[in-house]
Amino acid sequence: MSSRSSSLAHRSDEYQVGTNRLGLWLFIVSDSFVFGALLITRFYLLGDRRPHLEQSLGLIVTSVLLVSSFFMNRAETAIAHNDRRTFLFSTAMTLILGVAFLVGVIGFEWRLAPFGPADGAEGAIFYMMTGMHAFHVLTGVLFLFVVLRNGLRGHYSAESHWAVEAAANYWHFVDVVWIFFYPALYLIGRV
Amino acid sequence: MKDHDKDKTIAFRRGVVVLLALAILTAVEYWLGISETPAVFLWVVGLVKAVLVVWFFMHIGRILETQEGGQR
Amino acid sequence: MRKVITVGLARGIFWQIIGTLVGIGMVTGVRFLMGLGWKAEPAWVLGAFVGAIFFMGGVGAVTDWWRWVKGERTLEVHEIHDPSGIWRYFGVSYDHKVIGIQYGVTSLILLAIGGTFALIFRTELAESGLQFLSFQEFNTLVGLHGMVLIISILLGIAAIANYVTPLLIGAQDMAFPRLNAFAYWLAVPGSILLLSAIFFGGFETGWTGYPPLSVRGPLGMQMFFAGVFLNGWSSILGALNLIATILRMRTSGMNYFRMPIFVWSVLATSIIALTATQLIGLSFQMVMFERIFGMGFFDANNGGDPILFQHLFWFYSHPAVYIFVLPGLGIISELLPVFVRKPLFGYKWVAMSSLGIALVGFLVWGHHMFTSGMQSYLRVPFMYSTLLVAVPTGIKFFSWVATLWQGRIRFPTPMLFVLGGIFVFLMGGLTGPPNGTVSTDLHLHDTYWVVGHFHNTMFGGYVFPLFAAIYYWYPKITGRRMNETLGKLHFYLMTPAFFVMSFGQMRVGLLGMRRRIADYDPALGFDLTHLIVTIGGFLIALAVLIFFINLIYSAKRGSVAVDNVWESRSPEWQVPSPAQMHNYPEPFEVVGEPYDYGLAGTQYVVFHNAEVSKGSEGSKL
Ligand SMILES: [Cu+2]
Repeated sequence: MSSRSSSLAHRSDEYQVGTNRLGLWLFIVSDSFVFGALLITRFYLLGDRRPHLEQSLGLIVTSVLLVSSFFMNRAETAIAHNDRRTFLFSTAMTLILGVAFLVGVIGFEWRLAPFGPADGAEGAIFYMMTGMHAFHVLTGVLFLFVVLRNGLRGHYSAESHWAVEAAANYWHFVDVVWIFFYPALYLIGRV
Repeated sequence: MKDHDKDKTIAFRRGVVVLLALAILTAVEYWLGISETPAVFLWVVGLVKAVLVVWFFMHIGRILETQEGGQR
Repeated sequence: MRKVITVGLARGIFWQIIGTLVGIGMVTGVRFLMGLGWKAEPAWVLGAFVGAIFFMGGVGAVTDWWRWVKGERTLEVHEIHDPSGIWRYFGVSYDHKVIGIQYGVTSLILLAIGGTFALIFRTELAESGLQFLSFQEFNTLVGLHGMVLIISILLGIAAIANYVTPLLIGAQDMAFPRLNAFAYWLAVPGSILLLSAIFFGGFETGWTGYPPLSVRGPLGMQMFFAGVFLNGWSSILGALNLIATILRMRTSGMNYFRMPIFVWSVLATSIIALTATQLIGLSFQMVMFERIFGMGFFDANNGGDPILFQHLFWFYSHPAVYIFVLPGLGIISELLPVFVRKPLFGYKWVAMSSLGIALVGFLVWGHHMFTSGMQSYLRVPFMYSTLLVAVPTGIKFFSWVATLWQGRIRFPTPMLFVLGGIFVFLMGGLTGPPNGTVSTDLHLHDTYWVVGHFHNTMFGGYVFPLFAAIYYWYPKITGRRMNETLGKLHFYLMTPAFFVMSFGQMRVGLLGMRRRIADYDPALGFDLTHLIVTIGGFLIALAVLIFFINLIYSAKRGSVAVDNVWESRSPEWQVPSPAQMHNYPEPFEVVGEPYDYGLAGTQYVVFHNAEVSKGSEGSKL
């Protein structure tokens, strides 16, 4: 009991990581209100209509993002066990798949869609939802880039890799958002 | 050291299993979607996928774990 | 001159100007390459956001994070020692007390600006007919009065929460000091942008920014949206930090039900601010995109629905009312036992009622939309959920009355404002149900009655408690007391003036005066009431001016108050004032209940250096 009070002035690094973890989760909770509101907007305005989109492309980008989450998890697991090679490889894979997702959505889907952002509720909702999500993917990619760069310089270890954990958690969150956006945009309702 | 490696192998394997589950669910979801089944099934599949990611990849349980070292 | 350049704020504003030009250049350059000409709106909007980003870089709020990105180490927070002196308040500091003061001063500046806007349009309204404002100017002033004061309130709450929360829970600082500084500094370019709306043609919608009018209005509308958007993020990040601090940084022995009651209210407020604020940000962002890209979210001719905006907007803006008042009600509950010398009645109920208000607050937004054309079957559920708010609010009133009952009450200035707050908030509470009940609201909606009602809730729930908090914690900040005579003058001038103003507003509202209208028909017969309301408004301004004079005067000339001036049990008063960097020389331990005033042999906190002298007595927990 008495040893506790002396630790008060400078709490342990481990405790600080726990606080960071809570902070990131609070951010995720906050951010998910944006995506939740976008889902509500989609169903409020479109109901059981859905925009006319390229089904195969939707399935491909969804798969790409899910696989990227797998590699992200693998990277975090690896660094937690001091396996640097797997960590670096998997982080790089996640990064590449993230860029591939962006190319799929912005480069292809935005060009193939038969409507622009100003064409009715379909256009507004499709570009807003994919755009907001893509913005988050982009920030995740930048975050991963920083992690990869510092990882290559040997910054992380099993004991100290909060940045990797944070990047991973953020990345998975962006994946979870897409898990709901994909059916909402591509699968639910009729064209 | 042996234990440590074993831990790692288990953790990697868990990732593969979750990925397989997600892949199967996505295939199911796609099939449900193109055969225009009621939306509620799609929501259920989406929810299961999200829970898998939140639980196994995001390790939501950890926020409860780290409460313990605190000043309670 | 050199001193000025090294000051963070000056650098920030310099870089904001550069960034704005860069943003304008980017849009114009891209348009030029696409073969398009100059277009003001997208250029200024991107300029606004790039300018804000440059501001954050220029002021130095992201310097440490940038070092982390580069893989460099930075000082731990407990290793940082700020230089003393006035200049540190004009640049980035991670000290929660410095940030608290920064928030507070910014908030009071915005309070003065927003209040001045009201005085201008109140002068216009003092008499029927148009005197000196155009419709456009009048609308802009009304809208800015609302939003500038909302931002002022958010910053004022952040000020008190930032300064006091770590002190009350025995933390050295906030959980994320860099994020804390970032959140504060984000509000500065945000507020600059919000005020700049005047120079971009103003806006006509009032603070709510409803489409379709907001889609058509002048460019000032965009500056308004951009300013609120940035301030919203400031509020979100501040709330995140406060929640993490309260959950993780408490000193030993302080379990949840031994936290000071103010900390509970900060927690409840922060939960709302963390989540709901995203929706006003998103709804404003959607209008911005509708204006720039033609996306038809709220345009009925383009597949959209303006009612959707109201749903998104009020999902934040009703709970926002509780963001504004919960900390104030927490201050009332916190200070009342100190001046009544009795335990706070029903501590657990009061703590839970804050969470209850926060929770129920999420379910009532539709009461702002009874006349909007929303599906009529939603009216009755929203009416009942609205009236349900009276239950947790009533718990607070019962607690206050029972705490006052048979107390040995003292009446220094902070206590006067606590009591004033209770009375004014009671008036706000009693005038609320007619607005929450569908049948009466159909008549009262958009009238001055509503204006009178919410000015009561804002003054009772925020303004009076804010002044109480400033008079109460001023010695902790400066080591001096504020002048009592000026403080009492402030109170006895402001309170009656306020009642005259708000009851006058309700009267003209019941007689048919609409909100946000620059003119009225003299045949309605309430010219005189309007004049009285205006006079009341000016008297409030005079009282606040006295407060400002007191605030500045007492910093240098106030009577020295190093010790526990209010005889409080709270930990921050057990150490000398002003509070030092990193708060407490030694950690303290919580060994009892916080508000057991007047109960012999009770103790709330024990300091460890005291513990050493008393042997094993303090380490019971
Ligand atoms: Cu409301």
